[in-house]
Amino acid sequence: MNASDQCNLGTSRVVIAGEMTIYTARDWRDRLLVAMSAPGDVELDLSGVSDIDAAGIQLLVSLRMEAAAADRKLRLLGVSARVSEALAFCRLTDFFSDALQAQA
Amino acid sequence: MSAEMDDALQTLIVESRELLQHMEEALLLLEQTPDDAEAVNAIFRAAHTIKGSAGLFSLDHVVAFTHVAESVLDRVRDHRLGMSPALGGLLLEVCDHLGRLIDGVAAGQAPDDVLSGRSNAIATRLETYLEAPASASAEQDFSDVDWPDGNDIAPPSSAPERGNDSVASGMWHISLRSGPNLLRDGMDPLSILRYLGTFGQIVNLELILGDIPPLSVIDPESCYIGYELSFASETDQASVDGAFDFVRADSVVRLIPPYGPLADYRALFADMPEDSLLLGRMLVRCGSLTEAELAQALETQERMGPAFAEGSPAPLLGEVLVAQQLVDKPVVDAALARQQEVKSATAGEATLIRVDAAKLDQLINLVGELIIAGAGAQLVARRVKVPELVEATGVLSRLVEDVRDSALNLRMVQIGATFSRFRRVVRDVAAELGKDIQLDIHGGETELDKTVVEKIGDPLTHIVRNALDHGIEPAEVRAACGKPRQGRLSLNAYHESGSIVIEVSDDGGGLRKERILQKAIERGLVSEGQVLSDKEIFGLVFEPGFSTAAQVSNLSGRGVGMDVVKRNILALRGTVDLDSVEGQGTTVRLRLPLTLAIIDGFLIGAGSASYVVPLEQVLECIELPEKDKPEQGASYLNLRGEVLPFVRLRDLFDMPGEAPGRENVVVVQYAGERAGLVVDQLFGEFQTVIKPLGKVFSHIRCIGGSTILGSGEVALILDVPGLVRQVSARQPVSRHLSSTLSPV
Repeated sequence: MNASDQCNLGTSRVVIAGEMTIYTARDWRDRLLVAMSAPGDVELDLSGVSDIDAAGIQLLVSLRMEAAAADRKLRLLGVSARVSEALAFCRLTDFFSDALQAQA
Repeated sequence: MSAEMDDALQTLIVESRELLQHMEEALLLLEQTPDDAEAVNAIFRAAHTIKGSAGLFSLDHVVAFTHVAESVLDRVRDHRLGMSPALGGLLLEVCDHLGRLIDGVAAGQAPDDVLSGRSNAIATRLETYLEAPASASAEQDFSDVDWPDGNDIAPPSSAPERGNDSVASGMWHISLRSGPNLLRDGMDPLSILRYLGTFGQIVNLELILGDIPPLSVIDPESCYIGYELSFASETDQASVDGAFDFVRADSVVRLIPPYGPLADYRALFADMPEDSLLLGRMLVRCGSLTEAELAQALETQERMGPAFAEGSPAPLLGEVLVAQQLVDKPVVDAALARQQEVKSATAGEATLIRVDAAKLDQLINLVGELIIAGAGAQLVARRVKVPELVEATGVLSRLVEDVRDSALNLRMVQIGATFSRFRRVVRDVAAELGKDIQLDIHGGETELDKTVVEKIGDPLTHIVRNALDHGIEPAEVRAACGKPRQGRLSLNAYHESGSIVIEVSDDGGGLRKERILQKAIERGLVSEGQVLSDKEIFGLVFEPGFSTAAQVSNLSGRGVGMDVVKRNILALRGTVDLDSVEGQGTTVRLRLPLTLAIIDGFLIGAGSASYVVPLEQVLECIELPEKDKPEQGASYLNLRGEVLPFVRLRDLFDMPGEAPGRENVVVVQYAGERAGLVVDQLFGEFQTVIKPLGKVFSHIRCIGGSTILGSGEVALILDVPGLVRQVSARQPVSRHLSSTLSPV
């Protein structure tokens, strides 16, 4: 797993690569919390996610809800095929539609 | 993947291979008795179980492939499709291919193009047996994100009569609220869904997002996933139910069958923690309930339980239970049946335990240690001369011997499994040759050491193929000879004075003695005019070089590779012989030791060390003549007119000290070659428990293992084949040396 987090002009970006599963969920949660603690929008680069399971999905949902509650924008940049398949499988594409549009 | 998952995957691989074996046996049985419902069930169960376990590990390629086979088998099981030889052959291919897929999983490889191509080819052929494409549509590629919506799904043709109170939806409705530990326990609620997708179609899915806490309070390893979904499938309740077997323990799962009673949905509203209206909306979005049905359900619920809102669910509970009982009727039956199955399986497990072979080896090693310790104690007891102690240690050592025998016995396995593998060989070879051959198996329960069983597979295959290919004649020839058209091959095993005897007999043409003799004379194996017994003549087919050239008629092939067979069997300290009556058949008989762990050894001494030579490989012992001593420059002696190369163990192992005045030569033989071992002392026969040498010593030649003497000393077991090779290879060099030295 590797990640490069940066804060820049009020935007925090988290790059998630490798597994987004129960084995790594705790690490990713911690990193996402750091990003949320900074002000501004949150960008998530998921292009390097090789695998995602229910733990990863619920983490994304949780982040999306927290961002919405704090009235902050969440953008999902570069979603890997595995992630987009999983989101579609869970019928969550709509739920993330605004966050996904950002990547266009 | 974590270590636990790895273990579980190993179990999957082992189990799948076993299941495939059962599947193959059942398929072969079906060829004999096509109406055997039990065999069909066994095949179906095997496929179903493999698919289920593969689904848990997201081995999608295995699941997808097995699914097609399972659909076909399902039709066979329901008598919608009859078994035919073509289908049987195809299913055997399925079985083989699954074996390859599982091998791939075991090797940790993703399926390559060749394998996937073959999967597709076999699946396509299987699909021709599925007349209606309905169930094939369930076999979707998982990466396909375009899930068709519910409107495309035709309601199952066999829609049951709708009762007054049942809903209009022809789909299953499934609710799940995962327990918090689901992910930690290695389950993934999403893979259950993917598994469901293998035998039906998830039409709509609503994830319960409200249950997922915000990031600041979420425990990322707890599972918060809950869903409501509608599912289109033709399977029965038990198989849908089965998908949730692993999560049922700490999760809430509700299944409502197609056209289920409205009461079930009411019970669902009562059971689930969410607000009924919110949940109801989800069900409507899923397509499981119509607006009208939802209104009706909620209304009834309010009417029946006005107190519900005030937090007193008592009156509802009764209704819920009744409703549940209604739902659960088929499930209860299925559960009972499953329990029965589990019970019978555990009954079997109670008499049989699966033990790692390494553990048995360890036990046998420990028993060896026990023998050393026991023998040591006995020596001490004799030295101190306390009669009670001597007696006690005597009893002890007898018990230790019993323990040793039982421990060795644990490694004994029945030969039946090895024999049954030949059903397939016989079937395939017979089909290939266009012959009709029946295989009879006797004595499958005969036991022998596992290590021996593993090593006789190849030689036995060779013999069986030979018998099929060259022994049994084509049907027309048989008919012309007045024999039944169907050939018979029989495999037989029995115990005989400390050995196991394995016989492969055919009722074919038999060997023609004159031809063998003629061939042997041509090849110079036998001189003309030599009188040989039948046994000796038949023994010739095992001679190397007998079969190398192109040969004719029914002699051919009989010899092909038979020398290899003989060598393999000899390496196991076994023997081969052959009986044949021309025109009536041939019997090849293998005699093998029951175990490789105990041998009859011959104990010899050189210097202060003791060595063991396997007794069967010892030909004779002679005194080393003074003139042939190595000091005189000789490295071979004249044994009744034959050249016998020899080696002195003292020199071989570079031992210090002088050799005693009187030395002995142990003449050993391996694969027709002889060599002499010059030793100081001969101790005689000795029951030897072979202990393998560690890896560190694996490169040392001439030593095959070690054993422990009664005194507790270690004796090395000489590797006679290695020694013979080394002595013969060294011979020219020494001869050269001695000739250059002699003029000095």
